[in-house]
Amino acid sequence: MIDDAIQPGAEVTLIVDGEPLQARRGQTVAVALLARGRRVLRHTRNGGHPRGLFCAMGVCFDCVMTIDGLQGTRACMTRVEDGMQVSTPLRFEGREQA
Amino acid sequence: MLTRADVVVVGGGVVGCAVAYYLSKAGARVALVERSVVGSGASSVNPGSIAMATKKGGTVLELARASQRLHEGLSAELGTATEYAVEGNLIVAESETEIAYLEELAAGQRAVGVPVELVDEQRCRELNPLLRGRVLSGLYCATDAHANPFKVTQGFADAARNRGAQLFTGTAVEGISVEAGHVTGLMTSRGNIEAPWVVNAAGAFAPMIGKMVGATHDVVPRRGQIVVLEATDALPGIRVSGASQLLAKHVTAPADGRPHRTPISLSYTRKPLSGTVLLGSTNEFVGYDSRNTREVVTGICECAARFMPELGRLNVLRSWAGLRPYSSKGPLLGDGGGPAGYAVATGHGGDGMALSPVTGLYLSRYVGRDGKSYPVAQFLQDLKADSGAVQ
Amino acid sequence: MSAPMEADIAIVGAGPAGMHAALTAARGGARTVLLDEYPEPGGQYYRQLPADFEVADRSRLDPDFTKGDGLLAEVRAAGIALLNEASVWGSFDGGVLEVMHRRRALTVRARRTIVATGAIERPGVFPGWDLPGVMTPGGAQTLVKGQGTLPGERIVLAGSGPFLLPVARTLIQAGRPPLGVYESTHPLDWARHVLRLRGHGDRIAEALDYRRVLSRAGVPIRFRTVVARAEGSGAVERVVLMDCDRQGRPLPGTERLVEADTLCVGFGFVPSVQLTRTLGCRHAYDERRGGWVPVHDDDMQTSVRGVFVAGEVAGIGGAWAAMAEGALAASAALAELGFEVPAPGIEALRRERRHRRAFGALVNELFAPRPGLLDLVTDDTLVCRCEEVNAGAVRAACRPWGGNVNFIKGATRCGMGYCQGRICGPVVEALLAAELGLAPGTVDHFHPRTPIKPVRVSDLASLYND
Repeated sequence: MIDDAIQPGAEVTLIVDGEPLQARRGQTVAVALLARGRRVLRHTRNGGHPRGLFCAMGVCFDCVMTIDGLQGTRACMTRVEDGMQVSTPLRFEGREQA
Repeated sequence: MLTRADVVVVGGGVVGCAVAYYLSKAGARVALVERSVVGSGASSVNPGSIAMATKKGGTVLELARASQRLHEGLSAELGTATEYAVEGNLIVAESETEIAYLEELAAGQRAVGVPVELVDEQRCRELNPLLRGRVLSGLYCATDAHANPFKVTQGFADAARNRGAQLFTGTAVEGISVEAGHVTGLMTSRGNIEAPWVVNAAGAFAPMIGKMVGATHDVVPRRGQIVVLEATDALPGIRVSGASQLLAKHVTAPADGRPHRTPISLSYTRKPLSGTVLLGSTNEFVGYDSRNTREVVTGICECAARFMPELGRLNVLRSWAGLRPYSSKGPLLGDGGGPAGYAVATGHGGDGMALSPVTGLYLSRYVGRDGKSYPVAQFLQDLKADSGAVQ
Repeated sequence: MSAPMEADIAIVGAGPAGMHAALTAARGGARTVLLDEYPEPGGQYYRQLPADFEVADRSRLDPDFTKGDGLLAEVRAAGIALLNEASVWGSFDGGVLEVMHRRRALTVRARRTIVATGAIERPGVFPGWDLPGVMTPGGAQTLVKGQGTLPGERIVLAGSGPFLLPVARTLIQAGRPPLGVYESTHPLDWARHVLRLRGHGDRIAEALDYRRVLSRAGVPIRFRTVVARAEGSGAVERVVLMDCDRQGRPLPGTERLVEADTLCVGFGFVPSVQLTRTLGCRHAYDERRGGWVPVHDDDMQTSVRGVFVAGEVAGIGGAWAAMAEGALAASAALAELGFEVPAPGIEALRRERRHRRAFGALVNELFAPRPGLLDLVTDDTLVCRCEEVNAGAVRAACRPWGGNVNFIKGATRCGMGYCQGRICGPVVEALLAAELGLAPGTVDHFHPRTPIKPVRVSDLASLYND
C-alpha cells in the first residue's frame, strides 16, 4: 500500500486461469492482477494484441475478462470475491480481412 | 440550377444507390439526392439477410433468387467486399399451425427450385445447438446468406460515382417539376436538377415524394427493432427464426387497432466477420416513430433467452429501430402511376437489402425502355436468357 | 411492471455536482434519489477508498483521500436514497430512468431529473497507445485514490491541461513522482489571456501550489512536448517524446527516448452526454465547453422539460463550477415543484456559476486540442480500441457524401464495440472533419444507442414480463 495507514480488506483467493491468486477484499480484479505484476488482461479478438487497464474507471471496456462465467466483464469495476473465477481467453478468432 | 441529368434518383438508401449504379452502368447520367447521408435510414438498421426460406413463392421469391445471384458476384462487380456469406437459414415451428404453414411455404419454394428441406426437431437442434426452447420441426435452406448492408449500400454509391453519378447528400427534395404531363426535373433545397426521369426510392418516405406529383403509393412504415450482442467465439453461424414471426408478417396487414402487445419471435443472426449476434426484428405499424421501446427491447431478450439460454449470459451492446417500406402488394417497381418519367422503387418491406441489386437492374432496364411496359415476369425471363447467353 | 421507485428529484452521478444537487434537494424537503455507478460515491474528484479497506487514522492521510469526507457525511445523513453500483441503462418514457442496480433491474420515476454524469477523458492517440501500461491520467489517479495502488514504477505524464498537475501531485504524495510532466502547450500561448484571470485568485493559488509540490519533488515540467509513440513488446518499455509547435505539430529531428513502464496521456475531458442524448435533450457543439454539450437555460434545465444538467456534463468547467451547478439545478427543480429553496438561493448560485464557468471557459480555450496532434495519428495508428480499427481505415471511409461519423461507424465498425464509441467518438469526429476540411462539430456525433452501457440479455429479459 502507498500509505501505512491504509490497510486493504481480508485476504481472498481468486482462481485465475485455473491458478489460485491471493487478493484483498475491496480490490478490483484488475488491481489484484496488477499487484502480482500482471498488466496484460486480455488479447484482442482480431489482432491478438495485448491490452491492459486504460481508463481504470469503467468507461473504455478495454480490461474486459470472463469473470464467473460472464464474458465482457470489466476487471476495473469488479471487486474480488473469494473463489471468483477469472479467465483471460488468449485464444482469438483470426478474422479474415477482406 | 444544381445540375442536369438523364435520371434523378430520390433516396440514398441501398435501393436508391443500386438504382443509381445500374443506371450509370447502362450509360445514363445520374444524379442522386439524399436528405441525410448515404445509407442513413432503414438500410443501416437491418441484419443484412438474403433469405429465400422466409418468402412465399411467386414473383417476390423469383426476384429474390435473381437478386441472390447478383449478390454472389457483387463484391467483384462493385470492387468492394460486401461480406456476402452463405450461412444457412432455419425457421422453427412451435405449433401444428406453424408446421402446416412451413409445409405450405416449402411447397411454394420448391416449385421455383429453392433447395429447402423440412427437418425434424432433432435435426433443428443439430443445425443450431443453441436451440433449447420448444421446437417441433423446421424449414431449412442451406443456401441462404447474408451480407453487410452498409458495405452493399456504400459499394453501390462508390461504384455509381465512379461511373459518373453525382451524389447530393444533405439535400432535401422540395418538389418535382412537371410540364405537359412529363417530368422535367426535381426541386431541391440546394437548387433544381433538370431531368426527364425521377425515380422515387425514398423507402418508407416514398408516399411523401409521390404526393408531389399526385401519385399515391401503397406504402406504410413498418418498424423493426433489433438488439445487438457482444462478439463471441464459436457460436453457430446459421440463422434461426421462429415461424410465428413469418405468419404475422405474411398474414397481418396494418390493423386499425394495434395489438396489445407487439408480437415478438425468435430471430438469431450471427455476423461471421464481427462475431456479433443480432436478435430481431419486429414488424410494427406505428407510423414514423423510429425509436426503440422498452417492451420490444426486453421482449427480444426474453425470447432469445427462452429459446437459447446460453445467449442470456451475453452483453447487449445496442439496439436499433428502422422504418421499412411495407407494401401489401410487395415491391413497387417501375411505373409510379404519376406523370410520364416518374418511376418508383420502394415497398420492399424488410427485403430492401436482399432485393437491391435486382431492383437496380430492373429500374435501369425500365427507364432504358423509356417507361414502356416491362412486366417483372418478362424481366426475369430476360435475366435467365442473359445468364444463359453468358454461359 | 413491478412498482417503480418514486421520487421528487432523481440525480444521476454522485460527484461534486450530483452530491451538491442531492444535498440541496434534500434540504428543500424533496424525496431525493442519488444514483451512482461506483461502489462508493464521490466521483473522480472525491474518489473514495473501498469500504472494505481499513484506515487506522484518517487524519494522517493525504487530503486527496479525505477532502470529500465532510460532504459525504452530510449526504449520508440527509435522508437521501443513495444507490451505489446503479447504472442507468436507458430511458423510454419521458424522464423515467431504467436502472441496473447490482444486476437487479429498477425503474426510477421522478418528477425532475438532474443529470450529473461528469466527463470522459480525452486520451492521447498515437502509435502504441493500446499497449498495456498506457493509461489515462485519470486512470492512474483512480488507482491511487480509489485502490491505494500505484500504476507502475517509471511513470511519464503527458498531454495538456491543468488536470495533469493534480495527477502529478497524487503520484508524488503516493511516493512515486512521475519522471516528468510533458505539456503540449506553452505559457507564452496563455499570456494574452492574463487579464481574464482576475477574480480567480483561488484557482491560481491552487495551480501555484501544485507547481511548488512538483518542483520540491524534482519533477520537471516541459512545454511544447508531445508523446510521439509508445514502444515495447507486450507492454510499454519506452516512450518517444518530441518537441512540437504552437499547433501541436511534432517537429522532426527532436525525438528522444524515455525508459518507462507507465505512460499517462490526456488532453482534458469531453462531457459524458450518453444519458442526456438518450433522454432526447438537444445538444450543441461548443469547443470552449469541451465539445458536444446539452443546451440548457440559466437554471440548468435542458430542452426536455424536467431534465436538468449540472457539472462537467454541461461543459467542462471544473469541480467548483460543478458544485454551484448541482445546487443551482436542484434549487430550480425545487422551486418548480413548489418546495422552499434553501440558502444561498437561485440568484446567488447563478452568480457563482457564471464566475466559475468563466474560468472553466478560459482553461478550455488555453488547452484546446491543437490540430497538429492529428499528425501523430498515422494511418496504422489504432483509433477504435474495441473493434481494432486504425486511422487508415477511417480515412479511407471518409466520403464527401458521407460527411457524418455514423457513416464511418457503419463503414468501419468504429464505435460499435463495448465502449459504444465513448473513447473513439471525438477522435473519429476530428479525423473526418480534418479529412473533409470541415469545422469540428459539423460532422454529427455517434447516435446514442440503448443500453447506455452493456447489460446482460438475461437481465433485460427479466424485465419483459414484470
